Amino acid sequence: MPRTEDARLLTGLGRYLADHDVAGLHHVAFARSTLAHADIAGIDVAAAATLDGVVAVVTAADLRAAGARPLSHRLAPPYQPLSWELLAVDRVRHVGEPVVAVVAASRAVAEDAVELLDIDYRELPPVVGPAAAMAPGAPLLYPEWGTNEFVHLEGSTAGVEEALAAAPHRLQESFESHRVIGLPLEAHGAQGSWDPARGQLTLISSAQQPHQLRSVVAEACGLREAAVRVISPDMGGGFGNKQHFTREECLVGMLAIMTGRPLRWSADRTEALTASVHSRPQVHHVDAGFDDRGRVVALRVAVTSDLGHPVLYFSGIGPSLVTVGALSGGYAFPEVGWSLSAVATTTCPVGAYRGFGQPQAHLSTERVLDRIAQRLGVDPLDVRRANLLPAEPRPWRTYSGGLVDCGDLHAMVDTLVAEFGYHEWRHRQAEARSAGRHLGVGLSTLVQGTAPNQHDTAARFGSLETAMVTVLPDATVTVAVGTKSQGQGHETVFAQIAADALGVGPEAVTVADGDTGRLPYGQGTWGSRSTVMGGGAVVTACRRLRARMAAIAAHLGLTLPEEGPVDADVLAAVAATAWWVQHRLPPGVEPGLSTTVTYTPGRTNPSADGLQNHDETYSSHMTAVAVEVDPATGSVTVLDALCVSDCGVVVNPTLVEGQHQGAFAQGLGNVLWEEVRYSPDGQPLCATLLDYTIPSSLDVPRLRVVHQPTPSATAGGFRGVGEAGLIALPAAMVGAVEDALSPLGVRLNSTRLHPPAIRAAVRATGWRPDPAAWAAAGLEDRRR
Amino acid sequence: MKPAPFAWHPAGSVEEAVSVLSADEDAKLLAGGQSLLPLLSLRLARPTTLVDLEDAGLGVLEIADGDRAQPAASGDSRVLVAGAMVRQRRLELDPLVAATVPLLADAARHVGFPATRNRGTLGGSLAHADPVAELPAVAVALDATVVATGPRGERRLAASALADGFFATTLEPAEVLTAVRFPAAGPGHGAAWCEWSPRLHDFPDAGVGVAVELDGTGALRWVGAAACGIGGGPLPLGDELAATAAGATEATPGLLRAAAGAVTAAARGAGDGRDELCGLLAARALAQAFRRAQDRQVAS
Amino acid sequence: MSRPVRLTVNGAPASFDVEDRTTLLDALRDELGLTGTHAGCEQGACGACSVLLDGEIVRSCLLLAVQAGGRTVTTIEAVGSPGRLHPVQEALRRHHGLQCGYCTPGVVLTAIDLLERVADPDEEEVREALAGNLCRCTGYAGLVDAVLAAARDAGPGR
Ligand code: FES
Ligand code: FES
Repeated sequence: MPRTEDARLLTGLGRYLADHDVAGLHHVAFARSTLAHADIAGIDVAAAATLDGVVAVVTAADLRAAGARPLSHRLAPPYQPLSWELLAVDRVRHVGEPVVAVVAASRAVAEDAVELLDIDYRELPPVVGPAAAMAPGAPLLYPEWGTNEFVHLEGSTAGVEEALAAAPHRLQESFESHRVIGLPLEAHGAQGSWDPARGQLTLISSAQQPHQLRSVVAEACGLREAAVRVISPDMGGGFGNKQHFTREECLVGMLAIMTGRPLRWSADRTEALTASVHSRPQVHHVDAGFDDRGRVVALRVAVTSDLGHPVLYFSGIGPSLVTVGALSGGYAFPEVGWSLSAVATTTCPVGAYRGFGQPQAHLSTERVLDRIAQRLGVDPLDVRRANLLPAEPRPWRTYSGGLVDCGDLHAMVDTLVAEFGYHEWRHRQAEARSAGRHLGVGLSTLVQGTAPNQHDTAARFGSLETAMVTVLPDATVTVAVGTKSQGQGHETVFAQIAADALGVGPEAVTVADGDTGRLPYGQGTWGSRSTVMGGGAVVTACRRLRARMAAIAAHLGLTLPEEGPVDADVLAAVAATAWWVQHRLPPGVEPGLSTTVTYTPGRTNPSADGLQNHDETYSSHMTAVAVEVDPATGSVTVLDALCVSDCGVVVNPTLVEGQHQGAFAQGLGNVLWEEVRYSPDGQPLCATLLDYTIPSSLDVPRLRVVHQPTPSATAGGFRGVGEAGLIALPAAMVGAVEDALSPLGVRLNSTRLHPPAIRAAVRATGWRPDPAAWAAAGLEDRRR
Repeated sequence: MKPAPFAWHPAGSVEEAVSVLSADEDAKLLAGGQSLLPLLSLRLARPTTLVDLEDAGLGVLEIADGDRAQPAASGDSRVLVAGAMVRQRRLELDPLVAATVPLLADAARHVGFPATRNRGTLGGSLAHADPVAELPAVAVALDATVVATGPRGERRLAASALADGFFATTLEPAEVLTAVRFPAAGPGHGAAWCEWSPRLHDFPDAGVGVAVELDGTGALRWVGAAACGIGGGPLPLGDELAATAAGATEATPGLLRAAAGAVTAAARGAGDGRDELCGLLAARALAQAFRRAQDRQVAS
Repeated sequence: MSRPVRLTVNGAPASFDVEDRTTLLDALRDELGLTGTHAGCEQGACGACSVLLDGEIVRSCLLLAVQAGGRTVTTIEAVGSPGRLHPVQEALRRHHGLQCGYCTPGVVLTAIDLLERVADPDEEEVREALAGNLCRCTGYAGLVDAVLAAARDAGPGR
């Protein structure tokens, strides 16, 4: 079924953040730190403030005077204490940190004014990369911590040490995930307006979690939550980058209050690339013990995570916590131990991006299994089969408390082998090798937690979703839901879910999301949670309404079945009666046909042993890729890619397919072309889309998707979808590229599969291309 | 990301442009703007005045008699005169270009995207002097002549004398690059542009253009070549290839290996293995140019 | 420092006063309220701002508004309407060639520009033509299918 939202988006009638001009709208630009680490000795705003068209030039001191409150990470010890004001006070700790805000009649004038500011910086030594941060004598971001380590945590099953010591084989290696960015094509931004008569702040923000943003903005602006309305309009992508309740969003609220003018901040591409949210940088030191059959008997991973400058809600610690909880994935590793050292550096804050900590964990587990295969000289597929969860029991309890409720993974792997043609690809690989070509195959057998929850740390997230479903007097249906589509097509998905549950046509259903004025609370869209949680809430609400409708129908002498389509005349009679003729209702039945449900599957509460299942359910994705590598240029071509997917009950196969293709493209981009780079002095080297290169239509092949669904136990049976490619691809691609280059002896321990990196790795082996052969091979290539 | 203020000055003639440039040293030429506009928006370029060459009459694209004093490499003594404001899209698609300067057409399709080639110009590309740009290297490979007009009138300079390091040329501040004169291809001509970029459509890590001329017996009597992406400007490679390929009748494996070796040596110092890449690309371009030259001879 | 600009936009005369530094992208959005043209980068690198200038595809962030004086500009607002989609739009809808829709107006205009020139492109030509239109959501599969289908449906009579 095509999407309802498409007609407006295709014709330019979508309304994104920047499409909300109102009379008197002003624009905000920020003076951002140009240095990685410096003291602010003074700020002279005089020239900027007198520029024609400038309405306000605001510093941290002005904000404080106007009643702005600092933000904090809201974490208790052992996390280091940390709070920060909306604009930098006295010191800056990453290039791009906002120092002064300018409000002007146009963005251009605001930028003119920013250039007139005189900010006197006293440079301090930068801290780039966790190694530098933890080196003895390193400059400290927060001297009061006495270290740059923001937190050190450890966890382990009881017998890790013994199992490692007794293991027949050991492997010890390091694996690195490099820094990337989610990069929605529409950058972040917010527009605020203040109604002094009502004491009401309205914030339109390109935000994934409008309700939680409301809490934070209210707090920062010193308002009651009821005085703030947050509206998330059409969004040009999010991918986790728009879920952080940023300083800038709070600033827009404060500036609207302070100036009394409607105003907008739209991040430009350079702000988005250098001063929003980066993701992924982690190094894992892995110690694994395994037996002769390739079974892992114990895994210990020491994770070092670069948080950048951790001035984000929860300090961006979430992904790292997910990493250390997801180290066994879909595998039955009997003993697992981990440590996490999360480190502050003078770089852009590091936080959420689709995949959220799982890609790094998955890289280590898949790399370990590949290495075991190499060491034992067996097929990596067999090593995976030897370690996959057995079919029973379900749920499978993991070392970290996870209650994995996935389907039969072995059956999925069988499908993968057949549909991908695994053995055929191995055959082709052998043939290609004898012809001097470099083909490789990579595998990923992923079980992914979805609809996550971190009660213990992220105290303001929780695990619930709210939906209000109403059958109006004319028998059309409205659904309001607390999730927020960023392009996933929720208007269509939730309409289908509601239509199905109520027995009406999807065209009868109108879906609204992203407005705190329409629904008391909700938790937004992230962590593959929307269908599971929002869908669960919608289904539950519809079932409740349907029971009420059936009771009313019966009372009227009409038939309204428990399932399946509802007769239009019956529905019309029931709706009219429910709203207009209360005396004809059966006794005890609530009048009207509207209900609001706040739904929680309830599977993420801490258990008696103190461990927590962090995910309401789990989806599984078995991926195989075949690549060809040109060692001369370092370029990697994906020849085939297939994913066998269990995302539970599928509402709209086309949209699920789209989620897979999109995640695949991002995962591929992450490893083949993308990296956020910094100079040694902490200057960002990727400030434009010419430096941060995401794949184009020429670079991304088609992923083949095969569904093998099993319903989950949540309402509706959904498991969530949308992140598989981001998590599975990096691991599978590193495996495939290394496999392709294995005749040359290349070993890959990082997600950097960028052509220059591959070229360098090949060169280091002493291999040299034959120009004559290379020239001949490319003569027909019309793309180069 | 908005440009700092400036005044836009549409010039009705080259002379007008020259006089504005002469009067204001912070004025800058706008010749399509596909590289300049991003620099303006990032406030990395801050001209006081932008002198727009759109209507300055620089859109000529025609065959003319060559300059006898500077004999063309090809057997054909004519030249293709391309005005500075000829769009890159036209270089790519106009049959006249493909027939007379095939290397130019072959390279043009690698410049940006159709949407930028519809605006971007030949002269703009040469004057911008981006070291990874294709067209300046094409001009060097073909020994093209650059025509410029300044306060003291018109002068001509060899394309290889135009580049002056990263994003810099030897043009005088008030000089306008008005046209490029490319030697026209003769019957034994073949050319190929090969480049390699991490994404298929991207600024290249390296690119090499090669043009060859075969004599009546099919032996190579002239070769021109240059690379982009190596160092601060176009890297001339004609001598390297001439030394290895003069007189050859086939692009044999041995010849290609020798050519790649010579080019790699010339590109030595380019980071990320781009020297070797340059050698490979030169070998591929040479093989392709050879084949095209042979095809052209058969056809004529 | 403003300057009057007169041009034809979507078939009708339009005029506005802008500073010389204003890009066509900003003028279309801010002066004419044509917000279907999107700013993805303002650096000429994403294609979201693509419009037709005198019938040719260009990037409106790489053009000053004053340069468009006397010319003809076509934006997404002139291509189909929710009730009557252009065949390219209809194909994108059928083949799930969009998710967030932010890149979509640029994609639609670029595809139309391609099909004007090449009646029956193959997949490679479609991918080549769209290479300047970055999309972070779809992975391009649906988008490529859609353009191929639109070409097919337009039939040999094109
Ligand atoms: S906004 Fe113009 S190309 Fe990106
Ligand atoms: S649909 Fe979101 S960028 Fe293309």
